[in-house]
Amino acid sequence: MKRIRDAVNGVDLRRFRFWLQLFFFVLLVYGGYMAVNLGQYLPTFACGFNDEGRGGICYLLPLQHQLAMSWGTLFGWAGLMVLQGFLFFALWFFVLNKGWCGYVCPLGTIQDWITSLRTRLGIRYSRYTEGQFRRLSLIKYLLLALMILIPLGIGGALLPHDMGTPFCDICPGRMIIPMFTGDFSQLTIDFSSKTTMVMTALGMLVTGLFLAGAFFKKRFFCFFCPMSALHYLLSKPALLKLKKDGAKCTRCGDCYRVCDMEIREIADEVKEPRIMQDDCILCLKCVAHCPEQGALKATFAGIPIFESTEQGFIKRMTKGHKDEQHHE
Amino acid sequence: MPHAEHGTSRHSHGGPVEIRRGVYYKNLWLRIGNGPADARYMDSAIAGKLLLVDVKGEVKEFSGGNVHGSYGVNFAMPDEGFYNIYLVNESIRDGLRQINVAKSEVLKHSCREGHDHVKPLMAPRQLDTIPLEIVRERFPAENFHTLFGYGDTITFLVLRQGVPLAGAEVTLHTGRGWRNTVHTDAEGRASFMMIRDYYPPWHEFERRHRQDYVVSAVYASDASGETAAGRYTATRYVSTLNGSYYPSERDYRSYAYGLLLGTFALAFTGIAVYLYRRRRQRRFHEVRFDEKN
Amino acid sequence: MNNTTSDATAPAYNRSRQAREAETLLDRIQDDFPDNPQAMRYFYDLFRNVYCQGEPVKHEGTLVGTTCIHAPEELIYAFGATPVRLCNGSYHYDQIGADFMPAKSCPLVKATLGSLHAKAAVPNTAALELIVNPTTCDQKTKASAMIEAMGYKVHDLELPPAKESEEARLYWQRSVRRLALRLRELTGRKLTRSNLKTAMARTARAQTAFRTLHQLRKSAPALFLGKDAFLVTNAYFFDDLDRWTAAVEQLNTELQLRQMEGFQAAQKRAPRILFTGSPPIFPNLKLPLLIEEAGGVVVADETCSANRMLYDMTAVDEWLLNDMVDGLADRYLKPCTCPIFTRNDDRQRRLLQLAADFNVDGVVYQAFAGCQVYEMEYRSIADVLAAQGIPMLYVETDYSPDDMGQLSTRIEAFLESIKTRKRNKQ
Repeated sequence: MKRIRDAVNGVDLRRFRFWLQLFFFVLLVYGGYMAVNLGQYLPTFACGFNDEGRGGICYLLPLQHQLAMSWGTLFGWAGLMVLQGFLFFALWFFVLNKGWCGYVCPLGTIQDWITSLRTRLGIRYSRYTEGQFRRLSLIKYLLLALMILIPLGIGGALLPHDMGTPFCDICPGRMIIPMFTGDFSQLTIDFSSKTTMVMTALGMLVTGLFLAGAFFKKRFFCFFCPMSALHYLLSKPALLKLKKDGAKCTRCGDCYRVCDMEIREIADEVKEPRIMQDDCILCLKCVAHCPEQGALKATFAGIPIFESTEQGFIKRMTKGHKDEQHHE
Repeated sequence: MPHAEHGTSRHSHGGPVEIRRGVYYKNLWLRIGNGPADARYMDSAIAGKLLLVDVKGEVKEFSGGNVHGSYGVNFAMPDEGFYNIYLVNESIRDGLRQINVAKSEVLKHSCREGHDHVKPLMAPRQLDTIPLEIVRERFPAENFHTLFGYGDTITFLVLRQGVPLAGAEVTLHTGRGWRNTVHTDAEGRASFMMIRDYYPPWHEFERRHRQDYVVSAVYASDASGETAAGRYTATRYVSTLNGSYYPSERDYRSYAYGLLLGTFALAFTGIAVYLYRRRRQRRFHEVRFDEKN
Repeated sequence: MNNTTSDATAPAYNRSRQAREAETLLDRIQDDFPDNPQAMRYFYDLFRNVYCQGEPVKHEGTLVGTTCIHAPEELIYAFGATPVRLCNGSYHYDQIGADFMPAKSCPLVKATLGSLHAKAAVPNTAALELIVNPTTCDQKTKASAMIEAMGYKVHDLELPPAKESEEARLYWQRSVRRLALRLRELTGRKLTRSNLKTAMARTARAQTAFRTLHQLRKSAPALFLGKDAFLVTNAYFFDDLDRWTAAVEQLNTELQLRQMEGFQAAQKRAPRILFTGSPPIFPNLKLPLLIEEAGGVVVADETCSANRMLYDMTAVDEWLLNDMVDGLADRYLKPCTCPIFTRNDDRQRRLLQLAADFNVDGVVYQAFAGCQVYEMEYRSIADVLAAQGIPMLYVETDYSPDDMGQLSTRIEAFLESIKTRKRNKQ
């Protein structure tokens, strides 16, 4: 048992993540060709616009769709349907918590690939200043609110119907993920009405911004992701958890400096054991880069599954020193 | 020709429906004329046999009546899938037997029922007792949400008592009266590429603008015989099937502008970050290292 | 005050006061205790050669002196230079240095100044081509100009007075990047990914060896004595990095064998002491030595001449120069528990955790007379330890041997009270 535990804690997380992310990417982007269908309540960007290849559908698509029903229907029998959908979504989410972002999300994986490209080119990453970070961090809540209010407005006939899935319109996943199955049809501006024209133009601008942003900034889009905001609202009862033993922490900041999401609390907070913050993508890089025995750990249903250890840290860093080039 | 009309309580995939106690009802009206452009509604019933084939393939005979002011039918659609309605009308005049078949294929689908059950329900259904029937063939990946647009080629199969009929004259009528006539091939198939006949001012353009078409098949037979209505020396079969199509995405979606905007945003951001980094190095004397070595 | 300019008439080095001070101490370290680990011979010999015989310490490349743990050694190694830590523990140099500083100032800073001022100082290194002086405490900060006046080139490595804020972190990162520029100027070499990586790998290997030794000291009864541990880490100040690491690795192997054999370096009931405060630097190891001569055992420490210098390791996410250098900067600032920073809580937490991990019975807090920051932090440390029921002995001392008798009595009483407590608990 101890040997297994040591092997897990000493894992080369970078490689492990790369392969697991690739597996989920294939499952969610090409799963449709292998008759995989995980339903339409997935708490991750398994883009529904990827008609043929999708192995499941991102919950935000049916959610916006449902909320755009006329109020009479929505606040009648259909309300139950919305609740049921939300329940399925929550059940999926509870399994992996924000691990959906760090390990499953195809758009997140694409960003990690872009990051990998940048490091191969030897270009350094950018970071936000603390003030920028605090402000940008709020955008995802704003997007979440708009994503709910706009469809509701449509249901109440206050807004034009062709804005039915406003977030999908501007989500870069809609343009980028279908391209992986050879569908480039989302890269267009829709001139059929003023609303669609504005929304699709916005979508293409966001896509360009996404590609450039993800190149310079690790996990650029995740700061703004309304799914991440929705996750955080539900994250307390989830099974997979990130925990910190503040007493063991030396506040060396190693976890903070490797954090793609620039979460300072991971290094500075020493009182609260539930350390997961709203921006966290539960990639567990912080655990892998913590040199203090048991200071950070990931638990599943209360059982520790991955823990920071001195040996694991040294093993991973030694590998980094030895690697000629930066590899996955 | 039967025709579904707007103005009922709810829009479903497959057109407007009425919902009573959770069950979907469809209204269809009969129109007579040379095409969708000038066909008129009927005030009273017309002699003939009305048949309804439901999703499970069960055939029911029923009758029409006055539906919201004109002659039409109203029927329940309890299950998901395609319902076929046939009106078969037969008359003999001057020794010429005339058999008219009006067919309509109606889809009942609500997204609430999910989409996993769709595939086995997609196949078109035919009724072998119908003298002359037109069947619209499905697209390879067609589902309940598939819309046809300009440029799409729709294939119809013409059946005589359930057997493919070669050489039948098939005409497609668009909403504005354009028509095109072809003859069925050896397998009884006739194909049409749908053409655009919707030219509104730009700001009034609607991508969900529904355009109706009617396709008719005509077949004549020299065989003589006798029915309860009298003797005849020749028979003329006319069959119709209605449907609808929509503006094609090609008409209103532009790759050029999309890629232009995307590339602009990409280049703008990239250059902005590059310049920002350069400027930071100069003004604040940031020390940065050369990664090339 | 000593006359340091009369080198021509000075006696042979091995008969100087300096050498005798070192020799007496080494004799006590070696001879007062039975069963010293075989692998310690390397360190005993090293100190005898360098401090008693005055043998020169050989180095490769440009020699860069550092006056504090905050100077990132990996960066110096990466430029092909070698760092040598100048913090000095000699009473002899303390007296020389007294010329420069006010009477009530830190003996460590005075001794460092004294050794720099002396003509043939030990450790006898080659000429220092640059001294990196992090602006830590007031005394070290002000020493900068004095060192410069002695004819050395000094680089003031600007350290923020607080380390919590993001601004401080960025300020420090810039500071470290500027040091890299200065080193490039000095050595005429370029910083490359591969030479920085190599340098980091060497330091990381040394740190790994240190951590292994550190963990071995957790075993109860004690496997290894604190006086030897301080000698090992003191050697890190001037010894060749790879040779030092190899020697520590050998020591670890021997200790692991001893652990399996059930060896005890001290009595089973010997009070386990955590040492904190001003750093014991050879030959000023009087306090740890007194503790262990009185029957205690120093199982862990929280000082900048040992644990604080070597324990915390650098993490890098992307092995690019910019990330590596910033990572180094973080490692030298963020985990540091030096009392010069505004807040005390990191040091409090570190002490409590060490006390728990090493099953500590009591804490000895050394404050050099004149080291105000340690003196000022005393109360807050005493409070948290008292709250946890951990007894603490606060000792204010300097490099002079005059207070030995008095200290020995206090330490014996402290250890006795711990033993009584332990007995009563059982």
